[in-house]
Amino acid sequence: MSLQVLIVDDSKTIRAMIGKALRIAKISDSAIFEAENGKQALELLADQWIDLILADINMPVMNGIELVQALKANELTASIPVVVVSTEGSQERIDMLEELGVHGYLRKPFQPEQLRDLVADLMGDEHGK
Amino acid sequence: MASERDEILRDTFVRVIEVLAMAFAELAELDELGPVDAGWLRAEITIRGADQGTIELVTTQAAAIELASSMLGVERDEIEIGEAGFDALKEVLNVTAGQFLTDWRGSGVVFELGTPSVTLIDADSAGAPEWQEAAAIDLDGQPVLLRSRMSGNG
Repeated sequence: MSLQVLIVDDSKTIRAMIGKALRIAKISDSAIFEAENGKQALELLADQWIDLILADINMPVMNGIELVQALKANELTASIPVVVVSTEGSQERIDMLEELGVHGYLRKPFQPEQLRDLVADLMGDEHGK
Repeated sequence: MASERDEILRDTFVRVIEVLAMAFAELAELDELGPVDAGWLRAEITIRGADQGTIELVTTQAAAIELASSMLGVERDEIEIGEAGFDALKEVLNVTAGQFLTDWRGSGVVFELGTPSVTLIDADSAGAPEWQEAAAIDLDGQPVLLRSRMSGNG
């Protein structure tokens, strides 16, 4: 069974670009889910098994930091790996994300191969390298 | 002539679109850019933190369609300017702003970026005096003008 991945980003363009990169990592279309913000992501997670979350930080309604905090506060979602994909360049903010329990950080703009390698490192080599 | 800060912004933009959209832009002088008859867009993002301000970008609808086409991997005639074109331009500005702040101030400073916005403007607005000092780029024959307006410690 393919890895189930949730992309959380308010930009439809970025969701499409990440989806394209995930297909390079051998993840099928049917295993890629999308949400426009943290609130939508939590609603989707109530009904859908997800193995990996790729989330932006700067989003309306519920941002990526609030999403990570909500995930960690719920024992059903606390262990889902989260990779933040963001424009954020402040070391202080990146350190804070690590303290919150984020599993990886990928700064925009990125090459599709960088995302593939990150997914492979986290989830196993069958999804990349 | 563009300020030193806007020259950093211009270099950041060129680097960002090369990765994000596989688009290759050239540095240009404002008077070298060809005339454009119609279809201008203005994108803006606000910055809060150690410095406050905005980063603004003016370009053409044709450039936004080209960027969206490259980013999404679809043909230009499949791009709706009001949806994919606007969204692509917002994301280009968002990523440019995030990278620019690190290029300009380093990774030790925390900034908050606002939500980018895009509006249609007329050619007179694009050629307004306030843009004469902007950093100029030639994006495959389409003009891109960039400027930052910051106040604070920077």
